[in-house]
Amino acid sequence: MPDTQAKEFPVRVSPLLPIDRDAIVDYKNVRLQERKCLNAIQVLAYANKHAETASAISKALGIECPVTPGICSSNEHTQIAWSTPNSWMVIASDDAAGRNPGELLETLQRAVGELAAVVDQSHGRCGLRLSGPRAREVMAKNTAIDLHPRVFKPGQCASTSVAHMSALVIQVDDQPTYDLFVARSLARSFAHAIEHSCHEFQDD
Amino acid sequence: MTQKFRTTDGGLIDRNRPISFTFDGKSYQGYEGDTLASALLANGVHLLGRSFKYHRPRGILAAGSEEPNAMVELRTGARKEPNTRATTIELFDGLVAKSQNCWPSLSFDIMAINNLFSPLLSAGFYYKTFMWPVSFWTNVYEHIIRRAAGLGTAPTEADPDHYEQCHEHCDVLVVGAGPAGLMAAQAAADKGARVIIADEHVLLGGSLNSEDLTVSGKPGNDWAAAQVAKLSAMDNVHIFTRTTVFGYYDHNTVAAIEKVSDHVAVPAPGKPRQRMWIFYPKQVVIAAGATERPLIFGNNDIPGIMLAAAVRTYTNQYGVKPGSRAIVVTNNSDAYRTAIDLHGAGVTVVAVVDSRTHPDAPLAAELASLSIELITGKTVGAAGGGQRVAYALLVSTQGDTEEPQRIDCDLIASSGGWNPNLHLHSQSGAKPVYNEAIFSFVPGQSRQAEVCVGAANGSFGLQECLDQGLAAGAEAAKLAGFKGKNKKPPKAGDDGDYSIEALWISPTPYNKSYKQFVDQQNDVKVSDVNLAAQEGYDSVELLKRYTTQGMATDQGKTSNVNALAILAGQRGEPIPDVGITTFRPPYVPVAMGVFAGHTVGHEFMPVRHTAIHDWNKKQGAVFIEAGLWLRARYYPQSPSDTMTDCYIRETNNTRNNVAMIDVSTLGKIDIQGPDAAEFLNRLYINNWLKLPIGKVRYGVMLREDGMVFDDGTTSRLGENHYFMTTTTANAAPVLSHMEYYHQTVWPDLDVVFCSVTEQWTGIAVAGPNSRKLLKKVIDIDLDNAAFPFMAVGECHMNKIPARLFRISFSGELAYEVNVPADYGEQAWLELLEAGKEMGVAPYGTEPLGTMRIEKGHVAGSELDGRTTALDLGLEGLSNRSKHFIGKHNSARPAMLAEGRLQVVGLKSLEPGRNLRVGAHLVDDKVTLESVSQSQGHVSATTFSPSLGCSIALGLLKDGTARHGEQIDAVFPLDDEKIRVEICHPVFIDPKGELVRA
Repeated sequence: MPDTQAKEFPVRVSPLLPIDRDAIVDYKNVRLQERKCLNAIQVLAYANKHAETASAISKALGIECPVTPGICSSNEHTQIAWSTPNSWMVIASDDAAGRNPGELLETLQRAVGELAAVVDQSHGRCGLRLSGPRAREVMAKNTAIDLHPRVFKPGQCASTSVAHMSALVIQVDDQPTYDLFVARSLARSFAHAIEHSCHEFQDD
Repeated sequence: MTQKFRTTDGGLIDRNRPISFTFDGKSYQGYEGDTLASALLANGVHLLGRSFKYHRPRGILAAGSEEPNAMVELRTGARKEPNTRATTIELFDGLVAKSQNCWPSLSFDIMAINNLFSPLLSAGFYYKTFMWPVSFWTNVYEHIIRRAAGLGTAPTEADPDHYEQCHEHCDVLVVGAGPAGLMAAQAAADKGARVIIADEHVLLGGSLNSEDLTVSGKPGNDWAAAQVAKLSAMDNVHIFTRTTVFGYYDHNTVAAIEKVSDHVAVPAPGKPRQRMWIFYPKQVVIAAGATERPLIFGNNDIPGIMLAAAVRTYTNQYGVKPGSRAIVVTNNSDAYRTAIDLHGAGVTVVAVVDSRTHPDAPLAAELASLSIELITGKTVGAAGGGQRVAYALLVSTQGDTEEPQRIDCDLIASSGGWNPNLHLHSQSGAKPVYNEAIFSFVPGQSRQAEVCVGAANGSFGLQECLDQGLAAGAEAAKLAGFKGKNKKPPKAGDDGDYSIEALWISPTPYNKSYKQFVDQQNDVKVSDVNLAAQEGYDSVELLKRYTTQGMATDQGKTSNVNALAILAGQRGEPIPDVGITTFRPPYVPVAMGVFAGHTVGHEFMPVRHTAIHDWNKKQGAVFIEAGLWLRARYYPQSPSDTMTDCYIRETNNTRNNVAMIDVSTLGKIDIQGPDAAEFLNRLYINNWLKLPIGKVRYGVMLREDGMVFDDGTTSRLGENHYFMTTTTANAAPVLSHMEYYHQTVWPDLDVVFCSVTEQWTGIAVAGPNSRKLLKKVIDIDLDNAAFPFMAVGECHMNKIPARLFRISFSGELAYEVNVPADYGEQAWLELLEAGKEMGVAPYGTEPLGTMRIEKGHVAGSELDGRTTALDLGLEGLSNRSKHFIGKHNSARPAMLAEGRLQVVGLKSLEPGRNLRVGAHLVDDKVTLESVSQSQGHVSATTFSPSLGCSIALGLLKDGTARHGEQIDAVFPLDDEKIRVEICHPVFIDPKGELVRA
């Protein structure tokens, strides 16, 4: 439905406003930023089309689409997070790779054709990036899953409860950096909770 | 010179770092490394508080969290913390502490008169004394008792500090960093396991710091420090200091409290005061040590009477002389060390009094070499003194009548043996068993992945602790999947002698009656335990509740086994037959704040905001909580606007003109796939196989039991593409209902679906001028023929991509625009701008409710889980020739029988009187008092601006057949009775001409 032919696009308003700083938290050892202009596309394969859909996505994006639970494959611009045995969340920022709004959605729709449903969740999710040497400790205050480097590594993802809210967690690198995605309506409560958990490290 | 009772050298305190503090307004000095208790003792302060019931002077009994007496109010103002044990408070600069439970002062306490009335205050005295009259209990007695008995007072201001919770997983959790714990951690870490080791203290090493011990030829504390340094350097070991493991729960989940900022006056910026840890270990090694039992003799609670091991701790670790003339009284060999250590610190030890007749020969020889008198076969029968012990009266353990021997002293170190700390073991579900060799309980069969080692396992010798710790740590790592060879344990120097003969109660001198305290914190005496048993409260659980023995901050750590032994004596049975009370978390007191963590104030629960929220807020909208959502309820235009003013204005503007409401909170589900239509056909009671593309249909879902579950619209957007809306409240339940049926009942249906509630901002534009407004901004043909009622289409609203639905909840000509949520506010503003010339205005959920009642749309208050489609007048929708969820159960005889509550409209026949939700519908012959003959109830009410009177929806027995009748709506709480007319639930435009206009 988004019209990629139209050259002029409306301005997207962050769900986090009025938290309008470059970084929500900017301490030496931990940083929290919004991933603005987010694309989040849910791809749900139809019956017995799971493998074909995965290869179609892989081919279209040049990233190996994960078929193992808890895995998120990515390249510089785009992440593909395994969600369920037949669905994935494809995530990118609009400005990355010089894409226009709606372009990723169209690419995926073209790629999977009748194999899968492609559902735009771009405006329905808020993306936050938590990074720095203290990031793991901040996460430990908010989620019960084991994020120890032996267990949860870059390229892994989990759908779990974070600060009592449902979130998708992707580990980006071993700095460590985590990408956190929550429902748009919960964005402010979520950002507040994570920000509060960072305060301890203000003088670190 | 202050600190008169500080040794010149020795101990693990830093004499170069003095610390100032005040107790009861008086300034003192201590050193870094002190506890409040050790610093007070160094200054010769032994009187710390007054007891719970009798207001007897009390001092320091112990040196750790088992302390029953030395409780103080720490800090002042909002940070005041009552009932804090001086033995666990790390001394910090500027510390302010105050004694509690005394007035006007600690040394002269008026309520000490209770001591004289003690015969009246025996076990269960509350229940006996204050039985009559019953009405006096809460109004009179409770106030008096609460003032007279009790501990500190709670602060009245809000706690300015914050608390938090944290999670950590590991392979092996080691509880306690004494010799056994340090070895266990080392052994598990050496194999590569992820290890957590947690200890209450900041200085790790346990008894290695407080006892004169050697390991591998090194002083114990040096060996411990080296061991800690080694562990700290390993990246698979996480050391938690100042962290008490307080609870062991199911699934091997273990909780601990970390005192992050309790050792400073005010937490550093951003730092929590305390942090609760939830550990998820694969294996747990409990090396929690043991707690010494005091001997029970007359006046055994006078300040200056301490546990023998605590005396060693103060002497060895803190460089404090707890007295000048000491007596050691014991029933075991271990306490001899106290005499030796005191002697080494320059304290005169007058005698070691051993109740056994044949004490250990080498120890006796050692005492002789130090010229310390050893008295055997006797024990302290009673102590004397006021606010400090002054003498002991020795009696023969045989209880003979000869003149007791009096020895003057200012310190009595008492030891009745050791109790392994089995709290966590017991909390994990295991049952401790009695061990005759140590006269105490030891761990039983494990129920979870835990093992007790060292003193916690009843093995007190240092070499045993090291050996067991190493073996258990290695085994735990192996069980967690780590291989590797086991190392050899280090060699302990002196292994100690722990031989013991039981002595539960000392005979009293002259057979006189003395107060012999079992539980000092709760002022429970031997006579109370005996009385309880005599009165029939002779099971351990009843004893605890009748006497309060084992309750409060120390949870009876020093008193439980003694109380059991006394009870066993009363029952004439062996101790194992009497049993043991169940240990329950927490092991130490835990502040309530830490359980709440961050989830207080605005973080108590998350709030869901729509994209229009900020605009609504700027407009001064009054919000209402709908689940976690905040929705605009109505929009006051001036400070004098009441809710009624607002909803009437907003309703009128909708009915007569055009108005907008944010409906983003409705649940939205995207459904796609070849079998999508079939799936919908089974979910809803009505037909879905022939809905054309570009059309919307209203649908009703039932639960399996045949009751109505939810309603909403579903649109067909493409060949195999549908878009469902649910009520706000049922957004998540409907999705899980669909997932359940798809995954377990109809996995053969080729359909996929997901929630898109968050993706779309929904704006309803309603009123006769709504088409006129939308025509200005929407790029598709909106004429009635091109876009009729129940049409759906994709379009642009100016530049914003949108979906447009021609649906109506208000009963007016209406549309719903959906736009991607990041454009939601812009879309809202553009609609307002476009409608400015026609006077468009927002409306809230209050007029929304008014209009749905006028239109007779059922909602949550009618869909109450007890109503069928037939009851709600929706049965006409259902197609009984197909299968759908709830079909069979909705046709059970009782669902079709007469006498069911059915939805009706109700009109007030009394002008100016408004109906109330919850009012009962009763026949006019029925009085207010006999509403049991209720015919139904009022479910939703409003003043109808269109009809000019109060109207309602209600559920009435056989209501559908009773239109035109009259009935009373009674509300007994307000003594109210209103005559109403029963009518069709659709009050306006019954033919639905407006929505199709």
